[in-house]
Amino acid sequence: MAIIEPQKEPRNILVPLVACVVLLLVLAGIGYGIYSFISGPTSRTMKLSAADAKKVTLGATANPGRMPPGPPFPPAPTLAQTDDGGGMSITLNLKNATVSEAVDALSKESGIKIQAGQNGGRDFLGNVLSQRFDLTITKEPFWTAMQDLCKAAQLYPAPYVFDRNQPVMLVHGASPNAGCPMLTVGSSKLLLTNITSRFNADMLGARPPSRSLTVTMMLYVDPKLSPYRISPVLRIDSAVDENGNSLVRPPDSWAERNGGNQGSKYIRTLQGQLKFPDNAGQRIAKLKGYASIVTSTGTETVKIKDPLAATNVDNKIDGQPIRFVRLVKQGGQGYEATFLADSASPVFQDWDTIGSFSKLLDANGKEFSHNGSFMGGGNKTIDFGVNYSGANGMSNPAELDMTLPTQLREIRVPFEFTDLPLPH
Amino acid sequence: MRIKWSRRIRLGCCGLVLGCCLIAASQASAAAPSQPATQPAIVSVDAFPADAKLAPELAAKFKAKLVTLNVTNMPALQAMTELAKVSGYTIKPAYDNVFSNGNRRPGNITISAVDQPFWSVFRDICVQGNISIYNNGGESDRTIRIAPGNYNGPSGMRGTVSIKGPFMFVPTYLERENSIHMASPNKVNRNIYVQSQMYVEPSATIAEMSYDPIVDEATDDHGNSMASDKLANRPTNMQQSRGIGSYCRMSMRYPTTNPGSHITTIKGHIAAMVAGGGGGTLEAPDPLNAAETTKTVAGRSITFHSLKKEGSRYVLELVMHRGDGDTQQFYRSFNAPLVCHLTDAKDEEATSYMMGGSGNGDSITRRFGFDAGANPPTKLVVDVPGGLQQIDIPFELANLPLP
Repeated sequence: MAIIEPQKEPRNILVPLVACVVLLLVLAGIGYGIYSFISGPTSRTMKLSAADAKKVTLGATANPGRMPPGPPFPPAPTLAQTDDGGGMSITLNLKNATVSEAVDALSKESGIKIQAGQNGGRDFLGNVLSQRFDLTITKEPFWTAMQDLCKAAQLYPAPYVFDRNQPVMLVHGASPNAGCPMLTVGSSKLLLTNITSRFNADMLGARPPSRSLTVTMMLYVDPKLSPYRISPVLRIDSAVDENGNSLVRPPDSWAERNGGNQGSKYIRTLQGQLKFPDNAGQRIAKLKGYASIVTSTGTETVKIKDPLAATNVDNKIDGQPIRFVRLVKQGGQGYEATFLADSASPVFQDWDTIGSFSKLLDANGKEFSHNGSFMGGGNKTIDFGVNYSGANGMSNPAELDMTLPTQLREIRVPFEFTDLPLPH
Repeated sequence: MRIKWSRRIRLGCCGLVLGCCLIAASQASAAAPSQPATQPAIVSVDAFPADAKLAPELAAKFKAKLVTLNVTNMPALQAMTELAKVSGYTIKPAYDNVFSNGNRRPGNITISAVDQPFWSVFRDICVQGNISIYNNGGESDRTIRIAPGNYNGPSGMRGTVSIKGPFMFVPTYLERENSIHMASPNKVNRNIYVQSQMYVEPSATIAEMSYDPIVDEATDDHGNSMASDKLANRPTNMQQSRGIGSYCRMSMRYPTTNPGSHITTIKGHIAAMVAGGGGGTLEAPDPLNAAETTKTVAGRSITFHSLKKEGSRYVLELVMHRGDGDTQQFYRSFNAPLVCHLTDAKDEEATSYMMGGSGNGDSITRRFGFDAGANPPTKLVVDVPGGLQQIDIPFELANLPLP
């Protein structure tokens, strides 16, 4: 049987090609439509009130008042380290002394202002006047001597002092931190006070909470070290739970800048930020790191003449770079100076330093008063500024003085703890 | 096996289309993460329950403004403009270009609201359009400033809120803190802290707002009570109320056994000081040229010192005199905000803000700034409120996460 195949017309290749291209375009259109639908609204012009419409200019980025960026900023050098040097050597031999006599004796021996103050409305004087004790201290560092005095007189050093020039304040009663683990490192004392975890919830409950872990310590620095700054940030070299999970978190350059004012020269609360992994154990098996103290024994002043005309003036004071960016008039007798510094420099981290390191003078040497300061920047540099205001009759600013510390050195206070609780 | 050319082309095109679709889908999914559900708002027109011990005239001051708004598929910022029109309130972007970034543009919204509380409609626009209130704590005028949704915490306005009359209570961060004091290393102190904002409609004025809301009742989904008697008995810690929003932080105890995964309900209140009756106004026509004038308003002696142009703004100085009154009461009485209205010949009011001031035991000089408009100001009116009295503003929240 013969099979007769139907005769086929020779096919024109253009027909399926055109059909495929059309199909491709249709499907691409559908795909783009789906993409646009899922990816949210596109750019559109919105009609606002006349005033707001002027302000909300979609896509506008330029800020005409902004200073063009200056040349690359040099990094601050790593500070040279120095050792503790042993601190003070206090010797007291008091018999039947009152609290006041003992405090005065320690103050005289150390050269440090110490004040036993009132305490929350209690009859402090009545308590202390009736109290007498013997106190023998032989060649001890300042804070060891203070510890002995406080134990005998039922006092403790106030942890919060808000002014660097305030004396060491003693408060009546048992220290709330009595019983916390304390390390004596050289002439300094380091007290581990708190371990805190925080679980921050997503308010919509859609994501698991973010978790953090913070270790808090108090550092007591011997006055003989002339501390310029006690860093509020604990440097963590090693932290691990009992399951071997690392708890070390990458350093945050902003942490140094979040401490506000420095407060006391000799006492500071320090915090170390750790990671809280999902499978964190119940104990911190090991916590090792150090606290950082920066010392300084001098200052240097740099003067910038005619600061309204100067821009991006770079200086180095004891190796620490600082750029005076500009000074602008802000109406009336108000002026705003902006500066740039390295975020790793220990000099420009605290509000009290930023608020006090500069002076703006008029042509007659009269000083403009400080009227506030501000701080910002990124991971590598700090932008900060100072506002000044002048009294009536003052001339334009003629000179800007910047006074900064010299002979900066770092003293490291190492610590190592084992088997600490890890709160959940 | 040989494949014909036509079939090859067909297969190639299909593969290309499939690839395009896959790429489009993956791009779309990367650009638009799934949006978790908006949490409920508990809404009531009246701020205070009927049995609240509050003078009727005071209670009447704190009712929600009811608004009607019907819009369909309208850009959210335009809907905000419509809401501003029907409410009479000023609503504007927090600052120039805040919505200009491509990722921050609000979407379109559809609303059909008839006689609904202002904050309820406002929140609906925020939720649909991904907008938040911007409150940096420094603004003292009655403007509602808006910004992209992520400005007000990770979920913007989409978490649970309480709207009672002219008050909207918005929790922004909720945190469980587990702390060990190393003097007692075996004891863990667990507490819940909720950072929140209390917003007040621009027409309602609060002098002082507590930092510490009191939780009267709180329960998790396992039936555990989380209110703390110890925390409830704290003295109120007041802050001067600035602008329309005040920050506050409430505390609750974390259940010691069998804690749940959600806080099902929180009922509480926040203490506030409001101006009582008997207020008045200080007026200065042609304030740029007006002479210094002293007037006693609501029992307080106030001097209009000057209005001067400084750059692109006007600066007003008012001096308040203590007279024979108590110094502390004198200072506190001026927490009751002076509301300054500076208008031009077309009755257009300039945006105002506080600029601080200075004082001694006998007088306080306060400075107010105004954005200079196109026309010079022709009239200044300062609303001076009467004495202060305390109210407890209730709030009620549902379905919060319990980390």
